[in-house]
Amino acid sequence: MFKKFKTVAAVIIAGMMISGCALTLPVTATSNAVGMKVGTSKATGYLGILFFGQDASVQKAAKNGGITKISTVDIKHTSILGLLVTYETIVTGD
Amino acid sequence: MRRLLLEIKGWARKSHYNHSGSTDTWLKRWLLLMKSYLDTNQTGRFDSLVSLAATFAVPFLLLCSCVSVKPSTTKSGKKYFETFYVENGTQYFIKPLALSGLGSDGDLLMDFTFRDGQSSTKTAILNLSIYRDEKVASIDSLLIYSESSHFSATTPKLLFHERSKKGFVSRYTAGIGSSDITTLFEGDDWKILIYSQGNPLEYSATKETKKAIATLDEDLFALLQ
Repeated sequence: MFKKFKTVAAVIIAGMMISGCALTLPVTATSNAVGMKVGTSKATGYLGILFFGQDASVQKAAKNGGITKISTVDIKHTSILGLLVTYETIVTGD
Repeated sequence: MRRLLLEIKGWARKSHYNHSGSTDTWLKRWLLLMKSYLDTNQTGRFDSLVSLAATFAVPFLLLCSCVSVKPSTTKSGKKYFETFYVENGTQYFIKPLALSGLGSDGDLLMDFTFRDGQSSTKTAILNLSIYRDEKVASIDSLLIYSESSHFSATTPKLLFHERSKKGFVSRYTAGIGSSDITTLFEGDDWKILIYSQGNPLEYSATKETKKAIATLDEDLFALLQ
């Protein structure tokens, strides 16, 4: 019986790992008007945990877009097979 | 649990005997399916139920994990661009496109930001990162050309220099006519010519970038015209 449960649990976990999807979520919005600049920063993790010190911070995204007044911040999370995980910070502003 | 299984089987049997083609419902079909599962293995009813649950649970979880709610600022689910709603229009951000350099020119990433609708401005923002062994101290001119067209950007301004694993990243920002972008994306064989302190640096679109340009032309620019 326990063995069967383990098998089912393994199948369900494998099923969840197989799915490769993207989800974008808002982090914050300020009172600044939506500017004409967009900046992104991205970090990709291997096996879901190995990120090798990459920088996907808001500061980095703002720097990449040449943004000094931040308007909105979103984070996009993408996962492929649960093995290749990407976090992308998207900043808009002026 | 055994009692529950017996009850389910009872419902399934009942629905089987009362079955008629015209009044068949999804619930009856499901019960019949469940009954057939239970009947196939009389000695291990629980195992059958577990197998049944696993059969339906995995596709269900797969489906559920792909459903997401996107915020209003990023309605588009396209891979190569993001959409932002702004007052009286829409702002588009085309994600970085990679171009490979010739010889020691390194690599280049470029992204575009522009607006459509009443809030549109005449100039789109073009940001580029140049990955080289040496810093690109300044850019005198920037020319983008493909088989059918060529455009020059406004003189790029330096945003910053940064160290990278293989050398330096030089980040610049420039402007390009909004109307020129649509024409630019009609051809996918892009080449970028940059003059830095009199020296030419040439980059051409990678295979992946050509695919992205063609997709963007179909999915985005075809709608904007």
